[in-house]
Amino acid sequence: MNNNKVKNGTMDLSVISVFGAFWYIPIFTVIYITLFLIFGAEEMDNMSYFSMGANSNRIFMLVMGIIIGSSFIKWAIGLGMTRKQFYKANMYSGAILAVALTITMIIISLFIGLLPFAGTEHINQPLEMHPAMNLLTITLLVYLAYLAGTLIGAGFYRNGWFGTLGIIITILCSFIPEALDPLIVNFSGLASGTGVLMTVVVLIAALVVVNYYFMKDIVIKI
Amino acid sequence: MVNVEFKNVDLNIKKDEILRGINLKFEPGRIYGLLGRNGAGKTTLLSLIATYRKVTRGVLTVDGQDPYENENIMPLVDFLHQEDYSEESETVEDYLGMAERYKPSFDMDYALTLLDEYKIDLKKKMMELSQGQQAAVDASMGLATMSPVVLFDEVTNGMDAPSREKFYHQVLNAKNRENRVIVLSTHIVSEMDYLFDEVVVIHHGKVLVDEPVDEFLGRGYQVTGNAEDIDEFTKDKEVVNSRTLGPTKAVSILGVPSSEDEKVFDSGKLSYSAMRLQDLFINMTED
Repeated sequence: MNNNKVKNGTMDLSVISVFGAFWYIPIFTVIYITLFLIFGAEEMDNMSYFSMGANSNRIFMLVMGIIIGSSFIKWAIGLGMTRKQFYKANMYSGAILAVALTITMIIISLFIGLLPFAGTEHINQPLEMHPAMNLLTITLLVYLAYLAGTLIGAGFYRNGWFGTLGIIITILCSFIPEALDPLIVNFSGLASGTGVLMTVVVLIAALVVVNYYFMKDIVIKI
Repeated sequence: MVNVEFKNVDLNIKKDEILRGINLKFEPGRIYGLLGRNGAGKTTLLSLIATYRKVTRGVLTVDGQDPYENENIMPLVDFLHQEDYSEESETVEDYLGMAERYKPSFDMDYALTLLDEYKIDLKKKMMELSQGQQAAVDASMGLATMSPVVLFDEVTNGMDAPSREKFYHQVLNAKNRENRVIVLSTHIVSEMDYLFDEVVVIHHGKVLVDEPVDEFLGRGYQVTGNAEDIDEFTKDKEVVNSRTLGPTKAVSILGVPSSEDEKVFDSGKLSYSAMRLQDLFINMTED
């Protein structure tokens, strides 16, 4: 029964996020096509659909994280879930959505790439690892954004101080991976992007833990 | 049989003492009327049972266990209170489906029967329903989940009089169907008093009264008769409420009638009746 609650919660939160994605993806696609039609590929640095999407996916996931972190805890407790069960469902659904969103973007980019005016450069990602590792890093960056979002959402649900702390952590998470990448690459001699991947994994682990403490003992407001 | 017990429970929110020294026991198969003035701490008390927040001191148990973050206990409690559905695009049907998935004891047929009494269109979105209809959905869900502990906090707010009456009958039927703890927190004391087996009055964060409703009402009585006779009768008595209609006056009096008073009633000059719960409640919570 208890495992079902986490399973049901994961499913319902994922459905909510997917519903959001159904709005986000078409809007983003229209914006991408419009920008390339208006300004031309050169003005847009010939940026590919997937490359541009990887960045906007992070913004979308940050927003979804804020919405779910702040608005669904009361719903979950009302249905007899514990805070811990909600937390688990939230972590799982964020991971599922990060993977689903990245795969969707890849599939759409295959079609968009066929358009004569679309960009082809993956210039926004300083990732020079094996393509599978690059993809993994992009997916993890999206998940990291979601975790940061839930931190802000749950933080502000608790009180202003926790919310502010969530924002500060989010700002740090947004630039630390790329800032540390050159240092780690120079130190280890590995391909560019390895530092991003390593840092993102550490930050995700940290945010999973911090999210738990934000959610633990949260007071439900009525 | 699931019961709820508070032992010396305190609740502080920041520096404010919201609840102090709460000792209560809610037994299955009984309906409790939770009364109190605005800000007395009724909702907060119920939110502790629903684990919306943690007690500061003392022990709160549901079925003998601490309910807070307890995976086995939390599903046993349903806390229904006024919700804002203004942005809720789910249909009533979706809501029922969700309750069925999360609450193993949810009785869909029962829910549909209850909702049918209010003539609610199941295909309608929650935000499209009137406030009263939304309240009816909440009330029906609370009963249909079949949870052993059901807490209704001002759940009839927004309902019209016929709907409220339907809800009261549904509560009584539910009590007869299952041995559940049902707590009704309300300001509409005069309408709901006949539902209560026990009365709990919270005042300034403390339990002022916790006793069977008959015992509570035995604290006073009501007398009706000619205004002059009533004035004479109440000269040395504590009157808590008085209503006059033409030459007739009805008063609520604290205390027990003496044998001499009973002679007056027997003479037919004045008529005696039980105290109204609302009068007693108002009197007891007046600062």
